[in-house]
Amino acid sequence: MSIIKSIALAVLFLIGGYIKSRADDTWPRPYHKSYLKISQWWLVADQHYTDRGLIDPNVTNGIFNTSLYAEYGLTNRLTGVIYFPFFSRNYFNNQISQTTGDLLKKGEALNSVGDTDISIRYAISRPGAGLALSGTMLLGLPIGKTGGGATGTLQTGDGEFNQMFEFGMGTAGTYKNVPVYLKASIALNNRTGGFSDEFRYGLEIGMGIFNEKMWIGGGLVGVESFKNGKLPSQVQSTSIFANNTEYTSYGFEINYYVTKKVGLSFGYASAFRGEIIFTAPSYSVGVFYDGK
Amino acid sequence: MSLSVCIGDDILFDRIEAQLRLLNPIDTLAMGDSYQFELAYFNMTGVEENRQEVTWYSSATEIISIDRQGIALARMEGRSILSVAGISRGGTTVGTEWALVVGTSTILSGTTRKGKLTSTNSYLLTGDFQLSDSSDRVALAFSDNYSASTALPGLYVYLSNNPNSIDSAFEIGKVEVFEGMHQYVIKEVKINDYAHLIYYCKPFQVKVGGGPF
Repeated sequence: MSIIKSIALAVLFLIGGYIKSRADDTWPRPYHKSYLKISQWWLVADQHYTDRGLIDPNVTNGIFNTSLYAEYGLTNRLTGVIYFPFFSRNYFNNQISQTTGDLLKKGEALNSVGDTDISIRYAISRPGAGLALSGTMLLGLPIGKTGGGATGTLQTGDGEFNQMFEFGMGTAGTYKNVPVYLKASIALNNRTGGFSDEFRYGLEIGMGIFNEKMWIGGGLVGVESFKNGKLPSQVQSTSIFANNTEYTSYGFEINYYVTKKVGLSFGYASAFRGEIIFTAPSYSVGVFYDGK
Repeated sequence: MSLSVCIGDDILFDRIEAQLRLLNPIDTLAMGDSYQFELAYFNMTGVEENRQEVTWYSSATEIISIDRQGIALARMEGRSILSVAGISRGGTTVGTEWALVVGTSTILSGTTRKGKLTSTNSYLLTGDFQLSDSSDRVALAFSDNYSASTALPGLYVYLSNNPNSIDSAFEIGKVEVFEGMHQYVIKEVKINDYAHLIYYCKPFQVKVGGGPF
């Protein structure tokens, strides 16, 4: 699972996917209820965090994912989740000589489906409990492409199959008659293909305003690498998404219910520290259906 | 939106001074012998072009004379400063000069060129290197103080005539050694063909560091 996609996924999981229609809504999805979202996520970066956490330039790289995110209540305690980027585009810019105006290196692009995540979330605590506890098992399926372009540096996936277990907790209530919620999570990500395993964490707070027609959520997401895999210079992937990446990012998402079940979303996230990861912010816009 | 995203342009600041370079310098020319100097012209981006019209000059023509084709003749013992100059496409004067001694035998200039690696960004790159001439090949050797970052996915080393660009550079290969002494043997290159050593990250398409010879 590529790091940038992980940021998007984490943001979606912790913010977009978890925004509730009501402050006392359930965790996870009620039996036979669903949540669907089609969204566009993108990032364009000409800088990255180095292995020392400093910032260096790179050729302008763009990543665009058009994806389907869906949750479905298999039982009152078991929720199936899928994140499927059905169209992923990765490109880098042309390189032009400032002296002559000549094209020194032609930019390239790769279009394909991206790496997909399927997961099962289980409500450890009784649905409706004051403190909601859950465990999620995620499988990262490497159906994206790696090694694209003439130099093999474009990709829509990292080529490795990963398994991640996440433990989450959340609580909801009201503050001055405004519905609010607070969630936190930790996870262990087991990666294959020579990639280092990871510890992940997240914290999110949100509230519903305008009679819960609009929900605003913000949070932190982080990844710490165990650095127990191959060196970035040894990993088969020639992509810019090398091994041993780390970051802490902040983000927010606004969800607006146009009707009782259909709405629009807008999200923003950016890493304020990291290693071998882009420094540019990411954006997302989407349309969702909340089956409640 | 994904389908309509266009590839844009990144600008590389690759301007350098145009240069005339002797490819076969000598320190001493044997009395009575002649010697054909070979010259290369590199433009403002370090790319070799057809040689511009140049003028050869000797400060002491009674000791060493030099004609329009760059053929020097040793006439008597002594020392002269030789030079060659021309006008670049940009209209500036480019040239080079060197001292030549008339002696009992013809001696080539040093067959080794040295340099130091320095990083041009945040990644570790340091160490001494030396390029040596050996019949039909050159050897690029690194000292035991060499150290390079292992954090880059795709670090390559190049010989170039532009410290900021690998356009028209010679790719030696992917970096496989990140610490200590090692060397590359290069058959396709002569010792004075290039002026810079560059370390370049292909996925990021940026220079990591290097050094001049």
